[in-house]
Amino acid sequence: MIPQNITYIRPDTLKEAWDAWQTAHEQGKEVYYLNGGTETVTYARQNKIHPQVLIDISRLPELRQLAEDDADLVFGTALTLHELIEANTFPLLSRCASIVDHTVRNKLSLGGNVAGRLPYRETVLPFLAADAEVSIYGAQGLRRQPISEVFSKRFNLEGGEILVDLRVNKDMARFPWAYVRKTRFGQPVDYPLVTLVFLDAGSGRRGIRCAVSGAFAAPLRHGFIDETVNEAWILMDEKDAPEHFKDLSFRHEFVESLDVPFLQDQRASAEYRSFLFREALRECLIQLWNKYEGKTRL
Amino acid sequence: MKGYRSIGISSPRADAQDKVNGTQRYTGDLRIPGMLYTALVTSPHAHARIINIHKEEALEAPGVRAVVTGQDVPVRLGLYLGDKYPLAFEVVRYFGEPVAAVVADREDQALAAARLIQVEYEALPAVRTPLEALRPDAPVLHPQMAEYRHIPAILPEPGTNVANRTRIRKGDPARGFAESSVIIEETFSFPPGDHAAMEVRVAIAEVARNGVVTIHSATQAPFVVRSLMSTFFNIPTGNIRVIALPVGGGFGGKAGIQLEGLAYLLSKAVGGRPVMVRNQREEDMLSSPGHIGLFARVKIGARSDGKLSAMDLEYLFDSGAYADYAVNISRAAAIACTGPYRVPHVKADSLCVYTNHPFATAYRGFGHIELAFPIERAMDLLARKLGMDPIQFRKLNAIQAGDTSPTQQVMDPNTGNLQGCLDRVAEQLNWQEGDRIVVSDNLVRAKGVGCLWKAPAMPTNTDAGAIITFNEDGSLNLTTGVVEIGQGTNTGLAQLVAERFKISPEQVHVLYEVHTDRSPHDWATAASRSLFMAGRAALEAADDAIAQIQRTASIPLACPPEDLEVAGGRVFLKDNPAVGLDLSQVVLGYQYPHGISVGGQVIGRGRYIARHLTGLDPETGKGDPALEWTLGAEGVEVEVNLRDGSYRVLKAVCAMDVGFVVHPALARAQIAGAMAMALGFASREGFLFDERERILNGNLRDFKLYRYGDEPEYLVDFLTTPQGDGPYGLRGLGEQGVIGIPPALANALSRAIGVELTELPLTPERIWKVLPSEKSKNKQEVEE
Amino acid sequence: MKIYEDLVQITLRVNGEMRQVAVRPADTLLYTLRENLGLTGAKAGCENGDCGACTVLLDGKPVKSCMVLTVSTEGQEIRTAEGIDDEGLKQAFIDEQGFQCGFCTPGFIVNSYALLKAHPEPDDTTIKDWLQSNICRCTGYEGIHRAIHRAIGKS
Repeated sequence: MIPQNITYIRPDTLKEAWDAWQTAHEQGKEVYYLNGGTETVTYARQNKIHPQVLIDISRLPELRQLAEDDADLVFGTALTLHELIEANTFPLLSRCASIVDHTVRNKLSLGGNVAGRLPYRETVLPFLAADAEVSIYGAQGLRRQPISEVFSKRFNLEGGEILVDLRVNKDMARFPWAYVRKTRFGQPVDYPLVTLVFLDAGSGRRGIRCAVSGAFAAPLRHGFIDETVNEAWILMDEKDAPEHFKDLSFRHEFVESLDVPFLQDQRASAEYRSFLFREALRECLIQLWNKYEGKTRL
Repeated sequence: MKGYRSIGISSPRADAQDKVNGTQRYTGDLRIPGMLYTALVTSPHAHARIINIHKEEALEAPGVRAVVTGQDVPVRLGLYLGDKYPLAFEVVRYFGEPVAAVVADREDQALAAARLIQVEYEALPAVRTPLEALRPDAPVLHPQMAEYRHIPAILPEPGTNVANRTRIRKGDPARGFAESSVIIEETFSFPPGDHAAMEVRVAIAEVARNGVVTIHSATQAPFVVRSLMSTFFNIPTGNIRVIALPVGGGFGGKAGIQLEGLAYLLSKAVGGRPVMVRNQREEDMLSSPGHIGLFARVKIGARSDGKLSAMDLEYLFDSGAYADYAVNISRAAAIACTGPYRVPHVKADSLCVYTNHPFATAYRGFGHIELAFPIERAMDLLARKLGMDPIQFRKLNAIQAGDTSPTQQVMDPNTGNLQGCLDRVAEQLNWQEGDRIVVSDNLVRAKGVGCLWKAPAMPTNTDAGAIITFNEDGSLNLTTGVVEIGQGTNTGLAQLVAERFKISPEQVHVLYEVHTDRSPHDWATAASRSLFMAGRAALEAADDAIAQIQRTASIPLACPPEDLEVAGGRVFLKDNPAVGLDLSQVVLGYQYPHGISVGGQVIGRGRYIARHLTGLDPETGKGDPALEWTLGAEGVEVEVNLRDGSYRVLKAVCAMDVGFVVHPALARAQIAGAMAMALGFASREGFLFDERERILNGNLRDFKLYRYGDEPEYLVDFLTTPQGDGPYGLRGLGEQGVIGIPPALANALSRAIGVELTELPLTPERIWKVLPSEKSKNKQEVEE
Repeated sequence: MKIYEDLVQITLRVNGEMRQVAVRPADTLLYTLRENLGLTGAKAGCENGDCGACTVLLDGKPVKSCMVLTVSTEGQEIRTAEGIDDEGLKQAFIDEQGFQCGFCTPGFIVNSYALLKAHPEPDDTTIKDWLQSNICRCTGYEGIHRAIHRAIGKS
């Protein structure tokens, strides 16, 4: 039950949405875009946010795109997580979208997950790893930018800007990948303690890209992690025997050099997250190795 | 099953169709004309003085009819100890304590107005644990304890934070320890938690112009509500009607008095109009009471032959801010303090201690689930020290008929067969293959057991009643005071009555609502005694009705009443069944063809009162408080990951001596559900506090419950040593399935990792922290 | 472009019927179903998207109605527990003790119905993926598990 009165607007075009947001903002009203609504509705009930105007963008055709052109796969931000999983055009994305629970996934949108209030944003991980591009609607209309330019811990957009779609190169979407997700009781319906993805883009000996959520305060793609993982991969390659790798571990010095603090909260201590993160690195390496059926990929 | 036709079968539930079609009504679905809605303002502090409450803005808000604070309703209530105001008065003692209530035309208006209320507090230091609360320099949370009304059986200690102390002194523990060849001493603990029933608490109260108070409530105890409201608000008992619709899960959390008192006061504040008070989930978890916490010190000695010799026990219960049911939980834990074992020498002190935590009420297992954790863990520690198998050790010490309980009550011939239960559990767990099996480098399978016993902890005059009336077609209506809380007792009662009448249970229409002004009195639907006591009453009512049928029918059939049998919907001559009448011709009086009528309607009356119960001696605890004991054994098999402490529960098993199984499928379902609840409690539930004793996980997002797919394989077996005074030999089983599981899980996990676990919940991180360092790779790294 | 303020009258398709309701834009679908339409099968178990007692179908897909604004469902097909016509599924829940207190049951019935429509013979992984959306505190899930398998067996 949301006690305060809300003005609900359902625009038919991006421009209408933008204009409505600007108008509400100029009137000093607390205004949000509404996509799946799962977070907005529950946060409003909990008195965490106090929306006076909600602009429903969940039916805008540009945000509902599930398409491909010559080079890219396009994912509109009003697609639900379930729709992403069902389409399965980007398998790593399907895995990352298998969060929360099934019925919430029928409403929770890609945009809501990558650009919402919760810090996990697990569906952004494959896009970070794949060097995706994002389309944003703003004062100058629609524009496209590499994700690294607009995402650092979260999407950093100007007031009223709308995240329209994310797109990845088709080849990227088909490269071998690994995925590990750890929760406090092994029960999937829970926030992650660690979600780690690898995307092996080939191109020489240093092609693995890593992105992680849950272990730190925000989703992270970090050159040092990529570097360390690729070095470990090369070593695995040289040893050429998976049995060696059950003892594969990452040193304490590695996490210290990383210089990003692990999250400490009611769900787990920083120490346990650090341990689980290193376990996840190990498991992703072995997972990726098994995708090559043990054969060298170099 | 022994020639029974209506019992021992899995009869269909009469509430089935409504429940699967979404048409079952619960209290929160009721809409009464003119009903107003409530929103609560609750404390953001664990302990604080209330300086001022600014309600002016809220009073002006649209739709608001009243804004009520503790100043307006300074009446102290309490189930056993009157220590709590319905809205905090001058002091808040726990995070989430209700401070103000807004009554408005609509729910959204009430919530909007509640947000306008500003409360000024002066934060005070919070008492965090029972140990802290017992320190001589601890803040006294209830400085006015000496003024509190309480029942004689409760012994509060003014000037301290002890709301009740129960002493058990049996035999000569000093001698017992001197005779022991092994002694273990250990402490065990778990934090408070929540029932988390799917239905939140709700109460609707209205006061009619003639002063009659009507309360609809999601309650397990409508008669307790009536009785307490009469006492605390000085209302003649007959002027209070409490109506209990089926409840969406109770587990003890809806026993006693909950929101009803507040709803009544709010209704009075708006001139008697109906007012609904319904918890948000967060309020249901924090503002309303939950599951008690415990800190236990145990010292147990055994002789060289493995026989238990002495126990010295200290149970410090974390009652939270108010006493509610907790003073009886601590007392019940004292009564049963040793677990189901023969122990000649016992010294136990069971304390109910105030802290600045959300307060506790009855929870499934009622003192027995709490004491089982330290006791059953200690039994494993002792077995290990003695070099004995944990199951054999328990069998050797299993309590039997003729032994005495901690309160020196002699276990009567009805005592269940605990040794038989242990044997069965050993089979269910395939104990003979071993209790610890290495699966691979990092994976280990392990097993653990825990025994259980429980008697209802209830007043010595606890009773039940039953009324049977009839319909024109000869079918029966059965009214009792038992509330349908999911356990299906109503179906069992229908079966018992049907058995007597030799008809099918579907012909017995059980009333699924309890109205205190027309249902027979029943203490409460709690303590797993409803089928037992209401069953005895129902059987007496059935026999009473049958006698009346015989008497009426004997007139037109011109025979002695005792020559007549009632079966299959007819009354007929035993020796010549062809001669008889349909019940439909008799139950509302018999009418001759020429018109003259005789006999009158049949009204079957039954009652049952607890037999031979006494209180406890305040110094030694000596007494006979237990109606009947249900005994059993449980076990758990787990697979543990020795790297990260994570684990899966593969099996949860139970063998319980229930005397007689009226409805096999329902009985099994109760045990399975109980084991799941206990696994949740033991593995992941429990409140988490920040440094200011505020709860971090007071919602279902972070108070993690078992979900579909988490559950293990359940194995359930029943033994049937008859309970002589129970209907067809049955005894209670609704709660008991929770009791042995938490220690069984801890025993299995301790066995798996080789480290003794003494705290709940048993989270993977907690296990990982104590894993031997060569297994958990956090302490050192292997070169790549 | 639609703008809704204060109280609006909209038409919803619920259980095959066109229903006119006057709602606040802030009203959740759960609230509207229960208060305006008297369909109290969906329950306010947590109003936070955690428990699933409020589950209904939106265009055939199970969703948590406590997280959905009524005004956002215009044009969509809404179906509640009261409107589920799979007698075999319901009977399976009855036969296998798939409920006790019944409070979570409408949500489970709706979700299970949608599951079996999408996957007439789901494997255990799929069943778990769908049904872990709903919490039951009474049964320990054994009866629900058996009910689903019985329902699959029948169809």
